[in-house]
Amino acid sequence: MRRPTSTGLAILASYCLCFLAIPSCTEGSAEAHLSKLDLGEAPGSSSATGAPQDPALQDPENTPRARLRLSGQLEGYLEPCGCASAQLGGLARRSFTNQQDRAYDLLIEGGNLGVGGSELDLFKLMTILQVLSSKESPYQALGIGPRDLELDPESLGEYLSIFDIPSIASDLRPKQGQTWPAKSQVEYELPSAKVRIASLALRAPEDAYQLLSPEEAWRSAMDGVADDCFRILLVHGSQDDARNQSKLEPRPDLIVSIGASHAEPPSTADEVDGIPLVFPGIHGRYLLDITLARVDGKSQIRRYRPIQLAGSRTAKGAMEDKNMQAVIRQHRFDVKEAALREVIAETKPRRAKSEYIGSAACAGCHPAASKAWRESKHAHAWQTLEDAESSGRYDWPVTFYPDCIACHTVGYGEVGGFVNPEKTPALLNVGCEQCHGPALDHIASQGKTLLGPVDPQTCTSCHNLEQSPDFDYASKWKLIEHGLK
Amino acid sequence: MRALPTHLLASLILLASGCSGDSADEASDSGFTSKLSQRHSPIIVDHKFGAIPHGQSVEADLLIPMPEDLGPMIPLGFQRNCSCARHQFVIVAEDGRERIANERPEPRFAVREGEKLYLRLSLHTAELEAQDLEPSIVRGEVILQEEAQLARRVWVTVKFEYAVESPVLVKPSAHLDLGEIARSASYRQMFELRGRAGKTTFGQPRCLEPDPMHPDEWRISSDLKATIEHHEDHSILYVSFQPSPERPEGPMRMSIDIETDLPDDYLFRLPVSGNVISDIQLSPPGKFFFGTIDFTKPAKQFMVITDHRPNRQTEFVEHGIVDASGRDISEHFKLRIEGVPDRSNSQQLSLEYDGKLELARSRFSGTVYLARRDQPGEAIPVEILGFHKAR
Repeated sequence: MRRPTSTGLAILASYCLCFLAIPSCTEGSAEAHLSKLDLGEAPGSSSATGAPQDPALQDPENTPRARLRLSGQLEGYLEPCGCASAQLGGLARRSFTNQQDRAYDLLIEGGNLGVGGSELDLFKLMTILQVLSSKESPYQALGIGPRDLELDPESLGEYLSIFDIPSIASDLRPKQGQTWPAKSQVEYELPSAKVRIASLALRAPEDAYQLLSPEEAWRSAMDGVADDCFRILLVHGSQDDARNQSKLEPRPDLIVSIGASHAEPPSTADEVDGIPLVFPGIHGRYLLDITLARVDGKSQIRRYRPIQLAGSRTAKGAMEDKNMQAVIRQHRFDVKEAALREVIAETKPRRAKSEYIGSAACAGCHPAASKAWRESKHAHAWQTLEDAESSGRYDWPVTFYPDCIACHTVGYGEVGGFVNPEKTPALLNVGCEQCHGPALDHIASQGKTLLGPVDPQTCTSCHNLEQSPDFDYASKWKLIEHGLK
Repeated sequence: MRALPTHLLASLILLASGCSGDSADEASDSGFTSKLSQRHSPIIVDHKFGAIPHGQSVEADLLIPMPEDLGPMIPLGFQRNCSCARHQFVIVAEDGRERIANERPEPRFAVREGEKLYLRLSLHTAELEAQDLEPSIVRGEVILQEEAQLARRVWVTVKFEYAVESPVLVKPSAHLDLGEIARSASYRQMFELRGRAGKTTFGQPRCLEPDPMHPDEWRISSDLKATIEHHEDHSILYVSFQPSPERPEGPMRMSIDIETDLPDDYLFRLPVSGNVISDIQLSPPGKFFFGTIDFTKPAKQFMVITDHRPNRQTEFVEHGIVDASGRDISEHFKLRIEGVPDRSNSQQLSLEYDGKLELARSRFSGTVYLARRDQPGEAIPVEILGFHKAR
């Protein structure tokens, strides 16, 4: 083989450095001085984050300031699912915005990246971490939240290590000997201020993690912090959980609530006991820009700017980072390649003791209801996926993606539920049992064993605000209306 | 204060036993939103904005009914399925004085006897693309919490409908997405602009882009150009773009602003977006990414490499394959380079792994070096990345 040229090796070295362009910090004491790190700057930029220097930072008052771009509670939401229009968020839009609008010093993701511990969640985590560690706009801090801890601890630690994003879990200590790269805090030196970031999960599986009290965790994370350093606290959980941290010592300069209390950032910043309190919202629908300043020893939010991550109504895929689109697309194919459709199937207990049998078995006793169903879109729900796949509306295998399948089949994920079209053809489409529950006992007992009642909550598990924004039970029920017969 | 009928109230009240006064989002990690999504309540407040001329802002105050047998309620938020409208909670006292509730569970934002609570919605259509929007229904829920210590919650469903009518009809689209533009490439596109109500005069186009450091400040773009040609009943907008040497690779956002003689000094704005890429493009971008695989088994990945420089017939050759430590691993990875039909400037790269590498850790990374046949000294690194997971 011919050896790579020295130029090639240099490029390789810088490429690897860029891909993993995240400073590592040792717990407690080490500081990552952003301004001193060679992170492979973007052309024309002058700061290590890739963000050009902001002339406004040359503040005549010499006021320390930190410009933070916040997000959190992604919950596995890689991109708008596309089954409704005008949905917000998506990692490709986020990446586009982070590169195109560089009015920040630090990118901070609060955590709760996923929603569970399945193989799919692991695949999603890998994809998300790829995006957050991209060389074009790498994140400088990642909080670890309780949803993240639902993943197998070994895998979580391993994935965080692989991508080397500075992860923070101030109140967590692993009980077992798993890989655990998360730090108690990370600290950065910005052009006009220092920033130290800590994160509280507040809840954790007891068998895998020791949970420190917020007071102990914060004290440890802030050990040795300089007086002029901004102390930033990410708090997972409810709004109350965030508010309850206002008495911590030393006093936080900013509390960021990572949770579902606010689906979108409120129009203004909040405060608790004089400490600025902000909510970045959920699912990465928005990025929240704030400029934190210290005036007369007290922290203030100078600028508060929620950035809505909306797409174009007319140009599909516009204002999205094509590289990240490709990463997400690759994820979709990886999921198919790894046969996660089948791996995820039948991993949860059935919702009732009975077994699934398929809609055809219902027709004999309930002919009118069966007719109403056959004429409804529910009876063609699988075809919708196939059409989306073959028409080019999606350029990835929708019929193999578990999140899509779950709302287009019967009992997917449950033991005895849908597995794939070949193995469980009777459970394709949103059949009777998807709403009424498994029906074998009902049929075997000739109707004596009753099926559970169906209420609107059953509908909104799929027709939720995000996937079915126009869903209105009263009017939609008319489309599938049927009785017992 | 207008009161909710009792039979509706019954379906609206969720007894949040144990909630303290400021527990606005109890059990958020178990899914506050999913709680919302699992509940249905009748439509209580309904509003139709009608068709809004593009460019205009409209505002409406929607009266939010208060439950009659609960104490003073505090508005905690308005969650909705679309971010098209901004909102504020306005509490109006009997004497007409207003105060804005900041969605915090604080007594000063409780709606007292004799006061009324309005959800003030504002829609700013200038933020949307200049195109017609069919009537859209937006649904959401106003969350109210009782002021009392053992606070109960009420969700009031709000529905509003709006449409947008653009005074300028634009073809082919109201957003120009340049897609991926190679550094040596250029782009041209023509648009037809026509006034909906008849002859409309369009001014000279101005091509603008935001300062990346100060995104609210827009400046003249140096490489986006636009000219306009007037005809009897329409105008043709010619747009061209060629990346300037100063422009960094990566996403970009711009706009073309054109003044008109339409009412209210309507400004027609054509948003422009795109992504400047290197002349050597790898697709999928960046690397041979194997994802999570079992590294004890063979695997294969593909990539297309394109040379966007004009008038070049691309021919790439392999220049070496190494792991992260620089060790030659070409015995484990075979690279095949083949032409792509009808694309003389592209080649397909197939990288086949034999499944026999011994990995020290779960991450594998390496590099394929390519070179152009006509420039053999200049190596082009393509990363290989994968994660091992035994299956």
